[in-house]
Amino acid sequence: MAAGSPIGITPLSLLWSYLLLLPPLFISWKWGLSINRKILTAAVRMTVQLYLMGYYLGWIFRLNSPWLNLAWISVMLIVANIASLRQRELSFRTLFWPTTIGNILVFFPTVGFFMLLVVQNTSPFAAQFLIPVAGMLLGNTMRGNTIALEHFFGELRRNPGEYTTRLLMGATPAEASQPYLYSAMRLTTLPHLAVMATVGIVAMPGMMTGQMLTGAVPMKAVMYQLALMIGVFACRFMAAFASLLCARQVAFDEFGILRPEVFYNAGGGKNGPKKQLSSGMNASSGKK
Amino acid sequence: MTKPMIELHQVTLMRGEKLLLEDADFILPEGKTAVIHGPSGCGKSSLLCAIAGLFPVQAGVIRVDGLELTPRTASEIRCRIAYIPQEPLMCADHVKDALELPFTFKAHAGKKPDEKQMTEILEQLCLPSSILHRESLNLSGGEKQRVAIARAVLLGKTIFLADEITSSLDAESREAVQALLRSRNYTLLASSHDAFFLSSGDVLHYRLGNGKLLSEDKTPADDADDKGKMEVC
Repeated sequence: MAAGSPIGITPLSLLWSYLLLLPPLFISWKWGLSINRKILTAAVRMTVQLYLMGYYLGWIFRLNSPWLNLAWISVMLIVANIASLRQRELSFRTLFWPTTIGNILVFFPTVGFFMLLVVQNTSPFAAQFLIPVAGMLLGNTMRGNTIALEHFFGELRRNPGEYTTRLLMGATPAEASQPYLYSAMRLTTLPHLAVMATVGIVAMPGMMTGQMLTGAVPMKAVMYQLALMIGVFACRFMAAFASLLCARQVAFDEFGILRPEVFYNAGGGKNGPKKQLSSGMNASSGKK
Repeated sequence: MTKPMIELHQVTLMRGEKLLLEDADFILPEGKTAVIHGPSGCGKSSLLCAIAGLFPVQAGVIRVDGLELTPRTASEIRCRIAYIPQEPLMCADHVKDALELPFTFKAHAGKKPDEKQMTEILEQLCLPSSILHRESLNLSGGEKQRVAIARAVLLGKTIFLADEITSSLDAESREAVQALLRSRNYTLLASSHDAFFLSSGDVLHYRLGNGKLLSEDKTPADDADDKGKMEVC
């Protein structure tokens, strides 16, 4: 096939790709790995979900209504936020609104910036561009938020010593929780930076590969990939930061103590987490 | 009359369903040292934490340096209290950074001590000035306690809540800590398992257990008069 000609994938050729699942299924069966059912379930779910996505995106692309597109990415944002909070030990009820507000404050300006200055289509609300760009940014942003929130609150709960020590030295809850916030930001950012630093050497980015398969010249695909990776990084970083700052506003009680309501399963009754705080002021092994 | 620095009025503390303290009254005057004895888990640490606003008070009133402990005053009270646990966290990589840390907070901004002030306090606690540049990870439990005390002194705190501090200190360090606290007329409320404080004549002793805080300095008849409650002035 000549360079620049798109691959004409058909349902039949797609079906051939599913044959590649047979060797893993065989190995799993022969070696008794007991994951055949999981492989099949994941493959079926992926197929159904992506086909459904193809249908409803086709519908949205055809309608191409700015309001519908905005409504669609708003729904995506809320659903993604619900999913990221539900997966972890964090309380959906306490943290939903603060994290949603944090995401909205970052997500919409970043998408707007990207559509106006990077994509530069005649309409920044065109579904064909807006929905994929928003989807890419949102998916990564939510993964980043999940890691940041889980680490921030998890560490405050498991290792409250540094927080209470700083609180007792006259720090405000915001000042006392600063090390936890820094550490959460580093944890959510560093893996992404590692991907950025190695992309093109050890991995071929999925979006770029997809573009080239549909006929884009490599340099064009590279430029899109670079722009999107920078956009994803910036959005993920800022959204995690905004979500942490907003969530922190509701996380502590009037005495500056971490509220048990932040967690899905507070445990230990009414005084449980406060007892942990008081007992956590001693240095555990390895703590400075 | 000497100013009361720590006051408990009808204070009740609970950990989950367990009653730690019931309707306790207690007054510790300025410059005095009081030690709470009792078995592990009886609530000594919880009581100290409650005074610092870190443990919920079920009923009653706590006053520190005349301020009633409320959400509004908790921060101000914490600025006057130094809580020294068995092995305090330094919260910094090096000792000097640990001593300077609280001065990065808004509450103490612009009051950062110079190295000479830090060295003076450290030496009073039998710590060499070279410790300033040591890594916090390499400090022993006793050294950490004395650095935490030095940090509290540099912050100008006047009330010390000490949770089993003497267990990590050798005899010389204990004397140094005691001398420093006395020389500055600090008020000290300590919990202790060991007999260190028993050797000191000017210390008030209490026992915590079964929800009661009883003075060990009183005769059994006095205790009977108090109907199990304790108040010392």
